[in-house]
Amino acid sequence: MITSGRERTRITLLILLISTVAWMVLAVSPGSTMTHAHHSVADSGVSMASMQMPVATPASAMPHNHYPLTKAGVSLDSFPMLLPISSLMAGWALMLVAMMSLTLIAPICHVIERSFRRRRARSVTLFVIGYAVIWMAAGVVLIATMLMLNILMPQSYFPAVAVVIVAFVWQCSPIKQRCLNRNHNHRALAAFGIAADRDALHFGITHGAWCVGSCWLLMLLPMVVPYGHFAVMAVVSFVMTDERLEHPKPLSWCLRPRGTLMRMIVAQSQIRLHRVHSQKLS
Amino acid sequence: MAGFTRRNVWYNGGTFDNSDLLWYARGVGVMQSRSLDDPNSWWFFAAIHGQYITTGDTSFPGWDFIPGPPQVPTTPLPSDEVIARYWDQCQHQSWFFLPWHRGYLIALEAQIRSAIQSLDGSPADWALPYWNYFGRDVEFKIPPAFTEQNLPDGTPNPLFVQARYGPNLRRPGDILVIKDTSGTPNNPNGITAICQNNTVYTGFNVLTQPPGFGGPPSGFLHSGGTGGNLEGNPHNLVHNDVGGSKFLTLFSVGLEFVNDLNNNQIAPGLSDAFQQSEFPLPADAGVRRAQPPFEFLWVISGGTPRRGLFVITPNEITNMLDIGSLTAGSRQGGLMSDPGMAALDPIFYLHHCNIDRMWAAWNAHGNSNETNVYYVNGPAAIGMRDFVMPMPNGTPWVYTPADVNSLDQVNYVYDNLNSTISPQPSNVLVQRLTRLGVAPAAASAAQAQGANMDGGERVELLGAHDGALQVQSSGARASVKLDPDVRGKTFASLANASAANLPDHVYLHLENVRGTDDAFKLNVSVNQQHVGTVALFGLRRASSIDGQHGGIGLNFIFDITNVMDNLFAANTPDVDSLDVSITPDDPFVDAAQITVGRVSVYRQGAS
Repeated sequence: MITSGRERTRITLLILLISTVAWMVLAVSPGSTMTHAHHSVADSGVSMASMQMPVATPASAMPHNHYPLTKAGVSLDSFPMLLPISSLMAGWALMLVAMMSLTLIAPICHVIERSFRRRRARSVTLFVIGYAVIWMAAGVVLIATMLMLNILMPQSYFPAVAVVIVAFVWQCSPIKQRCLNRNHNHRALAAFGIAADRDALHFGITHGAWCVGSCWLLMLLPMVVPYGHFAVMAVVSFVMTDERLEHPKPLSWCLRPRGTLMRMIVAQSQIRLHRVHSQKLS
Repeated sequence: MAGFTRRNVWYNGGTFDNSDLLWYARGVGVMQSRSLDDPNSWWFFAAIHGQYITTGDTSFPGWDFIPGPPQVPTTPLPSDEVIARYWDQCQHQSWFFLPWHRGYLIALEAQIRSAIQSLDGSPADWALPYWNYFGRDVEFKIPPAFTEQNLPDGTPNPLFVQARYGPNLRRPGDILVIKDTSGTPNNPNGITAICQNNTVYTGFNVLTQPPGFGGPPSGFLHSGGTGGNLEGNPHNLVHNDVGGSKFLTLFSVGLEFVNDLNNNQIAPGLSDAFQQSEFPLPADAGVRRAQPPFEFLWVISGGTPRRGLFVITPNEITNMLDIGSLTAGSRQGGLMSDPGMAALDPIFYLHHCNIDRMWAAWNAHGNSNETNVYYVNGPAAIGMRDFVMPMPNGTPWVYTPADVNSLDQVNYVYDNLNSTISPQPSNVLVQRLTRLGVAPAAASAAQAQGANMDGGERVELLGAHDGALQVQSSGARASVKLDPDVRGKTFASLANASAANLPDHVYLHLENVRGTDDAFKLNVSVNQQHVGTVALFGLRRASSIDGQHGGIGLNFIFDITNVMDNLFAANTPDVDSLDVSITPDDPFVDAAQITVGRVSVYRQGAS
């Protein structure tokens, strides 16, 4: 603890605000999510005419219930025209902001505490850039996977079931635990000049890499469910935040029951209810 | 309602004439007779604090490799559920350090009291004694009852521990704690009770160095990060002074190997000698000469990082006069030097009883504990493990800091809460402001406003040494570059110091200190001025990358305000760096692979 409690609270609230705004955009304008853009195609199949619509129309402006496509399916050579890559990546970025921001509170506080005050914004920016680059690169692979699954099995639950099974195995694996453990490893950072920039960027990249290793399957899940993307995103986000609250653990194959976040919510609710009750009595 | 009184262990000379000690020994004996999987056993209780049984260690500090007595069992293991619920609970580098250990002592005391009930003549009001190493005369030494091999009736003494070596590698068995002799209370070189002058449990102010008397905010935290001021000194230093380490001789060879060693080569004959010893060289073994001034010390390393092998001239350590041969050996820590073994040593509980007494004395002096809801309700309030102890009646006792917040809530008192309080530095602020040129009357007025003055909310980086340091036998040095802008702020605060504008405080940080051996102390100097001594108690666990804190290591904070004041007084406003020197307390540090991730300087001020 180098910064004061008040300063940490300010940082936490700012990150919470950013995450909340992203969630609100997702909730209010579902067309802006990469998953819903995908949904609007997946739900209906593809025709040549309709495939060009999203290219010309920003995904965020696409009506949620606009399903002009047929159930005819699609050939691989048509998929580059499916949606503009920029819209897909923008939707993916919005998902990341909403779902991952909370997991970044600790490393961002680490960067801030170890940087000169005038360099804090710069160092945090570099950290976030490094982190985002890794996740955006992972996003290309995950989106391609999603589109492929959608093309091969439109409107099918099979991809979602398969991802759930593979994710379950992954969650039990020592590799998953290794990734989670490394996310707790906050390295020393240089303070001056180019070395400070390099270290902040490198910290973002390594943190992002371990984060991808930990969460890639969980992030794929809301992308492949035919319905209920938003709900699945919320559940997955809850799971990922919960995992980060756990301490590192020895590496082994095992089923790791978690639940720290839920226990925290229950305990905090009880404490607050008790406090309200006590105030009423007094 | 207090039913029991904890008394000074040095009554009746700290021998078995002190009935508290005699019955403690007998109680420990009863608990040691129980099996590891019995929650009422000595071994189970030690594992509650921390253990190296389930960690898969194939050498020391694995409990299978601890030299007896006591003969430490590693089977039968309790169930996985029991291990997960009870073992490896101790809280360090956390604001839970004090309340967790208070509950731990209450449970152990209840177990001992229950254990001796079955023995003839046992007292009904037995209570755990405390070891006040700040006491008069020889009270800084371990009480004699702990070094006797036998009890008065001739049976083995359960308080005797083989792996308890003391602070001097050259005099193993001389068990004592080293008191501060620096003459500068904020920069001690040994144990001190200066933390008793803090006024903030978590945080900082004029009289309280960060992270505060009790420790920084945390969840359930077994090891890693920055310890509270009481935890750092005296707690950690006492652990390492008492546990210490020992040079274990493996074998002797002739001087004909010296030239090869100087050329960083291991001659076949030397390799054969290792092969015939109980520690054959690993395939990747390498050798190098230690740093000056240790001319006749070579370090052989490789294989598991926890094993360090050394070749030395015999008279370097063993005090043998034969200089016609070299002695190979290894350094091995004592039980008290590592949280994963410490509670196997019966002196552990008397040491912590004194730490608990210092906390009680601090409260009795008018200081309040943390009131933050996340502290008061314990780690379970944020979904983490709760604090739970096995009690003699077979029921687990789950507790929070709120349950043990003061002595009014527990069933014991201390016979004396006064002796650990150092004289309050009533004029510390006056002295500093006067030194900075503030008129004495105004400085006195500032002091009169109260000792709890906020030293300023703003904390920011002032300088750093970019790059990691390796602590070798010769130590480590770093030139900590200061940022001109931030340095300007600090010097401006010193120049404009007044009752209304308190001057900055400045702290040196050793960040991300990692290594494989806890049994070292580091002496730290800035510009050739000693600023503190720290013990690396907990280093191994904090450095484990798959450990509970991801291998971030330990952090240490030193008050270097007076260093900056001196630079200001010397009219050197353009000083661009500080010379930081880190020196280990003995030269066999190379194999411990101790690194410092970064050395940095922070200012704490009002603007």
